[in-house]
Amino acid sequence: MGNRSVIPFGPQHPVLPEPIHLDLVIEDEKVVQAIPNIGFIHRGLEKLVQKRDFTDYGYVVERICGICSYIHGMSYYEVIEHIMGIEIPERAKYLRTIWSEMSRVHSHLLWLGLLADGFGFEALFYQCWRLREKVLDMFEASTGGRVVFSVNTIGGVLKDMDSSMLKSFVDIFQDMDKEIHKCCDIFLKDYTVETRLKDVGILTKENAVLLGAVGPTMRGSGIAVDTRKKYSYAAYDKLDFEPCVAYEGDSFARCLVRIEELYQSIDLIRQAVDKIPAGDIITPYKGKPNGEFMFRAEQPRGEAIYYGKANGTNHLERFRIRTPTFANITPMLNILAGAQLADVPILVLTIDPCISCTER
Amino acid sequence: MSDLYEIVPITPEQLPIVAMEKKAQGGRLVQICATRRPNGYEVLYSFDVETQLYNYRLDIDEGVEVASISEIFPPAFLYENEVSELFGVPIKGISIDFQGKLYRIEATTPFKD
Amino acid sequence: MSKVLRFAGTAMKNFFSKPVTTKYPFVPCEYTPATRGRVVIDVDNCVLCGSCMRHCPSLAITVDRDKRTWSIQRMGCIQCADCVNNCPKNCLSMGNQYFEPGTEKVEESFEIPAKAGGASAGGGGGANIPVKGDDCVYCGLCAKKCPVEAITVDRAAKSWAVDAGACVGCGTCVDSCPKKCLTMGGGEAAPAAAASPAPVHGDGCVYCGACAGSCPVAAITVDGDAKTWAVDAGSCVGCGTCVSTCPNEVLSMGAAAAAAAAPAAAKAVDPAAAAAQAAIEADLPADVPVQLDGCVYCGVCAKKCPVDAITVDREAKAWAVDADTCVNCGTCVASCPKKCLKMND
Repeated sequence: MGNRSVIPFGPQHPVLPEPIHLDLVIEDEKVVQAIPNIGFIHRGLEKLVQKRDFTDYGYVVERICGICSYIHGMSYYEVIEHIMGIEIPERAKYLRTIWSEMSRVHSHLLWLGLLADGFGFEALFYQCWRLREKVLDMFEASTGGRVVFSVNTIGGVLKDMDSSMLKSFVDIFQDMDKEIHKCCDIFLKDYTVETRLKDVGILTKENAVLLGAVGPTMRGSGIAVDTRKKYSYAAYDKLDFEPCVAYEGDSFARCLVRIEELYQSIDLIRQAVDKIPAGDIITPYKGKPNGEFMFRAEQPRGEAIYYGKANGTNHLERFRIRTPTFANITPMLNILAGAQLADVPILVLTIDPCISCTER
Repeated sequence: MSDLYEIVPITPEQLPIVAMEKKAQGGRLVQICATRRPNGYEVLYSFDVETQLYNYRLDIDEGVEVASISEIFPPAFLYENEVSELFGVPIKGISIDFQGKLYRIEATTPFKD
Repeated sequence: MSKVLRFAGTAMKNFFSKPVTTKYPFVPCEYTPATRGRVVIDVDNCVLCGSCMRHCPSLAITVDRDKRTWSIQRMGCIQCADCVNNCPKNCLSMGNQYFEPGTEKVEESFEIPAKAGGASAGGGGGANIPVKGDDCVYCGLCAKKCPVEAITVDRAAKSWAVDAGACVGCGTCVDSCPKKCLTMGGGEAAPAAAASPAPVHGDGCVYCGACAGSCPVAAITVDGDAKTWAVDAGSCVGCGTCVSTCPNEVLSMGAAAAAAAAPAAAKAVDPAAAAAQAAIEADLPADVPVQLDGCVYCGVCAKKCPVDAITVDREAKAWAVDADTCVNCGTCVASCPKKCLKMND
């Protein structure tokens, strides 16, 4: 039996976008067990429901995370709209879909850059984040903010994108598609990348279900479920797509799923721009919410659950967000057990951790 | 779409039976959420069996103990630690129990007030 | 694809092309027209209603009605545009230049000029000083709220006086009087308001006066005994606070219409309960509020009391008034949504 020692990983680490602490129990360079320790960025945002009106709390929900910001904000307003029985106009649904998919593109490009940086492949990191800047510029032109958009409201959206803006976005995305293909082909066929990702960190299909994995972590292990497909919201029921899935369950499979989703998102944006109808973007409403509702959305990292409960006053009684990384922590601990110490940063990155969402 | 998500009320004694039933059907744990109500809590358990959500609600008074389902569903330990730390719901038998130190907060059970 | 020098093409292209980064701050940053940079106020249209202050999620805006200033903590603002979307006068907008970063937290303050007819240049404003009516109870709130301390009130001696030299004619005392017994005497009449939507009074009103109590410009008058409700369309700023305050959802924003309120039937009185009530009231000092049946311990009276004389415990269902602190202004009676308070005779 080798020597056992405990190595702390995080909360500051060059590969981590947000702080998480793992105590890695290692035996001669092989990780035997990983014990998580979170709470460095807990801000108690769910308690702020008691202090901010339901009309203003949307701005708090948007600021839970900088990467997943748009879908948090949109889902909050969807929950309120369902509780109050407000039907938003078709055009608003398509606009929300387009912004959600743009948000997914920017999130996956960010993740790809971080993963490449984790290898030391900084040139790809630079390329991905340069492409991501184009997406952020598009966000600024259409919503007013690069990271936090504040463009949703109860009953619809606040800003419209006219057809010339939508067409210019589609053109930019087509060019971006070619650039991403160039970068990703190099990435996926590189010998070093393959050696470090293939057959490393295998999450079996049974474990994925037992441990509650969601999103690309789950789809990389062969479970072809995408919340956008199974439970349609916004305009997804009118768009044509299939969940991206890979069957090996190793890190390479998870990376492949996300890269496929990048191309799929660009295609979804093009489809949505083709089909978007003319019309209003907001429905007026009256009154206060009373009731409860549970909403499921597909964040770039997986399925997120939003549960809202209102009692007819200005403040909601409870707003709970179950973020995808919260569900993915247990599968992450499972794939870390049995891994080499040097692989730990990459394995943590393959589940795409977003700790500020996790801890709210 | 709220008719898809009916919430079934159960008692704390029925909870482990429901959890085992969902596991036998091949389901996964989706979330555990607590809400404060005067003199007690509502704890909502959600399971996903073949993409259909099943929600169960425990309506309990303060001090009523709830059994942990982390032996049945391993990821439950994170949710149960969060619920017991932020709300003060006494959950017994969590597989990895952080003893109230999951989030490093100064106040004890801040969501209880 | 060959396995050698695959990235070389991209690397050489990067080597010979211009940098993608902007040499900020030497080269200014280009913002789009839609960029949410900073909040800009048009001081001429602001009426100091305070909607922006109530909606701001980061509590960055302060509206001071006495000093007539609108201030914003620039470093606290999160550029969410909630204030812009909720301003009833549309005097706020989002400029597209971000506020310059710095080493100190900056709070910018803007003076809101008073409208013509209301205030005027200071002293000697004999035409524009407040005049006291007959309902005055000498509670002293006008003196407390006066930004230049021009009013003197003596409760024991029942005297009220204004220093015409010091008075600036801002009208804050008129707004703050709970008995509405002050008016600005002489001077020009208030300007006719642009057609701002005043609230419309529908069925179901219980004349609790909650709307009048919540109106930031005191445009609504409610008389619980006479069962009348009226809005001054000239002062109304259309902020809609009354609509959301009304516990019976009786009001809606619409074109200014005079409300003709039919007097409601008087409530039937139960003689036994009345006798018991009379016994309680005989023990209490005069002119303090007494609690009738129907109290739901909502605590609105305690919140509205300007001197914090009332304590309400919702859990224990307890209600008490401190007779020594009470100034007999009657705000609690007017604010009770269940109409379960009255001033002791």
